[in-house]
Amino acid sequence: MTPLSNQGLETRLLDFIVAQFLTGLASACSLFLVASGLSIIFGVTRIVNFAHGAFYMLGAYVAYSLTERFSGALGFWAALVCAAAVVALLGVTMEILLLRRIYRAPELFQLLATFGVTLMVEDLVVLMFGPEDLLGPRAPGLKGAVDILGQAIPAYDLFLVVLGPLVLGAIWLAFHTTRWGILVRAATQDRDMVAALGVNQKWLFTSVFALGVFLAALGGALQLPREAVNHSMDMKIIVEVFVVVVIGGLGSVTGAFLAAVLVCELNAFGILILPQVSLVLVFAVMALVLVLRPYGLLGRADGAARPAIGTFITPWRAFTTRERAAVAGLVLLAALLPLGAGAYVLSVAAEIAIFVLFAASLHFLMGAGGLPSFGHAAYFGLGAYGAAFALKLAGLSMAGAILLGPLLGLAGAVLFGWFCVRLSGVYSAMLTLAFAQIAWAIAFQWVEVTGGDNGLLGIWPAGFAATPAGFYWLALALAIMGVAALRTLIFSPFGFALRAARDNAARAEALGIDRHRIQWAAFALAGLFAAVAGALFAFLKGSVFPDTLGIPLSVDALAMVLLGGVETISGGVVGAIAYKLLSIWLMSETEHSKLVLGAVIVMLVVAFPHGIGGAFTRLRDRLGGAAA
Amino acid sequence: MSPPLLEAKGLAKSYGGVAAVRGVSFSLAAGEILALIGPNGAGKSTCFGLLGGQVKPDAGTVRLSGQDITGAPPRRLFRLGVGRTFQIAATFASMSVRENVAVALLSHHRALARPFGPAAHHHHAESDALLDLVGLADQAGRASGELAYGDIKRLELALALANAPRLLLMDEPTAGMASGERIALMRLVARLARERNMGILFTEHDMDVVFEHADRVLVLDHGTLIAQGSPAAIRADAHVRAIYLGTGLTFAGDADA
Repeated sequence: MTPLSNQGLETRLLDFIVAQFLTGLASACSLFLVASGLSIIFGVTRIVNFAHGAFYMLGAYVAYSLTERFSGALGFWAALVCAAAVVALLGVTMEILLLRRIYRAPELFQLLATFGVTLMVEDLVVLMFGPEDLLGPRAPGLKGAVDILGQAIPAYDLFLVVLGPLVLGAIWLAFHTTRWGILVRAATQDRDMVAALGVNQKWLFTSVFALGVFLAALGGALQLPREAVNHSMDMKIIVEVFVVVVIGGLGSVTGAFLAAVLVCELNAFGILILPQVSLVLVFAVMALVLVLRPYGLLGRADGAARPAIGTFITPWRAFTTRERAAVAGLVLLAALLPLGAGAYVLSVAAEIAIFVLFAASLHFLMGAGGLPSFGHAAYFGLGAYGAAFALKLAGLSMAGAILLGPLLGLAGAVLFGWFCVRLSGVYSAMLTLAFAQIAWAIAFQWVEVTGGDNGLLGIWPAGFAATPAGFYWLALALAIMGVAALRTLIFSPFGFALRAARDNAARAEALGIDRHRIQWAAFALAGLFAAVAGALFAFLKGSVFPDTLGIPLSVDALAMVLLGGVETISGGVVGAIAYKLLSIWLMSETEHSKLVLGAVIVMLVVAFPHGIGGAFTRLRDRLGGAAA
Repeated sequence: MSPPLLEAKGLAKSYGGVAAVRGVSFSLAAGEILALIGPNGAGKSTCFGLLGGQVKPDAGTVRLSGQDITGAPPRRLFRLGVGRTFQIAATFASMSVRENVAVALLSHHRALARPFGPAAHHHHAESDALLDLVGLADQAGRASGELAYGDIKRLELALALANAPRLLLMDEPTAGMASGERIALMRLVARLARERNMGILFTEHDMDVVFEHADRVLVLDHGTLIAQGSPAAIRADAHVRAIYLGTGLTFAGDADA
């Protein structure tokens, strides 16, 4: 940065703005490549490929090792392209071996599979390349800087500024002039029709996946001269890419380009003009775009999705007397745990109980409400902060804090939910993500109130709950009551209205159901129950940090629900217990817990394409059918 | 004189530059069965959307017993006693047949906001009666998503009847049904119209169904009403014949004439 002097201040400022603008454009190149890949894959296969960030990271790592081996000017560029090709092959392998088995699974289930792959890749890159940041070589021929209006702009940045539009043009040409491209565009509009016309859908999907992953990996490889390669770059990019794809409109490559430029310029200038809200700015803009244009800048409303022939969901039914007795037995066993368990086991068990309630609340929203959320931790975290504020600022007792704290989560859910229920499907889910990020950023940056990164400390349970057994019983009791309440809701008239609105919006409206209002109420309720779990979590940990609102926690909850089975009422409960037990146990047993957890998730996904709960239901139906 | 049950005046709707419906006016009396016919693309479905609240008109008014309901959302029409079935049958696929009917009945009784107590316990007698009426009593426990298409159409009719409507809008009620089923369904609908003094507006491609059951027929072409009158008059109308002959469709009844 050139220091500003009084003389020619305005022209200097203008020059500086131009330089900053070019830097933003250069950053947009990689982001656009990754986002366009995700967008193309979603458009054709309807898969939200969570592993896209992992492929971006792999592209960077593989390019790094190839540039070490290839020599000469040509070697560098060959290394980038080869890296992208190698990673594209890996992507194709994943598509053929994993995703092809689960295309027919319920919506978003594929996201769980790609999440499992992401976990594995994160550990694998550390195993193969080590945990240190790796600095790649500079691009041969583009090492210097170019003087533009007195500002030194790296030549490589200018190369990227040019490359982005070139790639956009190449994709456009491929989509509009080749037979394959026409098929891809047709499939984006109506893939069933394309299949009905005799196009081999399998290979169309695979080729689209190959292109999408190639673009992601190339995006990662191109970052080599600009930033150090590390094993957490996947999470950072995937969130940005989600934002870009949603702002641009899912399935639109041009939209992805515009949105990538918008996001990068917002980042480049936001930090200068409004540093205190820089973290929120992009998400606030995303929320604004979605509220004004529910399908993104250049996206189009989805054609009505046809349910797959031969798939129907067994109607939900209440427990039979025998099942009720079995559940009561399990609850009794859980209540007796303190008789034979030590403090550590009890704190783990309390945490599981808390997550059972959290996952059940998300399951209620997704399963009964049909409203997927990628940001459910917002309400969990708000509940935790609410309890902390009630205790610290208002001076309430623990009981008061657990009772009143969740109201903060309820308020957040009422506010955010009003917008979210007006969008549909993945767009709605992405808006929940944006709101969660905004809540996170507020907790992170409003240091005077929230303590920022240092969190709020000293939130310890009192009275009977001060002992590990006491707190476990409290958590268990609240979790059981919460889950029971959610279950009652599902079978109540309200639950019927909610499920009706999910199944068929037009029919529900024609029967006098106000879909938005009923879904809004469901959103608020789900937020409230999540907030109760959050308040308990604050007392379990004795502290609250911004990461209780963070994306990883939202993703955990999503993984629990999908693992348990969205279509099964008990899916959230089963998924939370399985996922939490597994991850806590693995954490204590192995240094590569992510690798193993990811692998287990991938295996479970293949073995139980309707979740663990769905597998139970099917087994029960089969046994019941044989007995009858 | 009391106003007609349903009265449309000068309804118009364009999509981009294409006028789908231009200046359609007609009325429907209580207890009357009115058929809306016309070749593909004539504007029948748009007309239905305009009347059912799915599509907002560019111009014109719709009145229900004199009350202006132009552009009213579907859920308000339900409260005013309008029932609706869709061209592509719409039910709640993940719920059982009885649960589908329960949703409609609970909504009719304004009990859907209740967050406690099993919904299945409500209005049992009423749902039994509805299921009996449409002939689905023996399939009450099945998932509606696994029903045969003709049965889904009958379930949809049961849902539309749950609020004891005074006006029933049916967009191609018998499409996709076997001919025996068509006759049974339309006989049921005609009987209800007489018994309950319920007005019925329906579109239909099967001219046998139209001429057998309609009291009066409206003919739509290129978004304009080109004829209306009794089935016999419509059958004899040269203009109508020209349009249908132009699409390769002939009236089955003519073979006997």
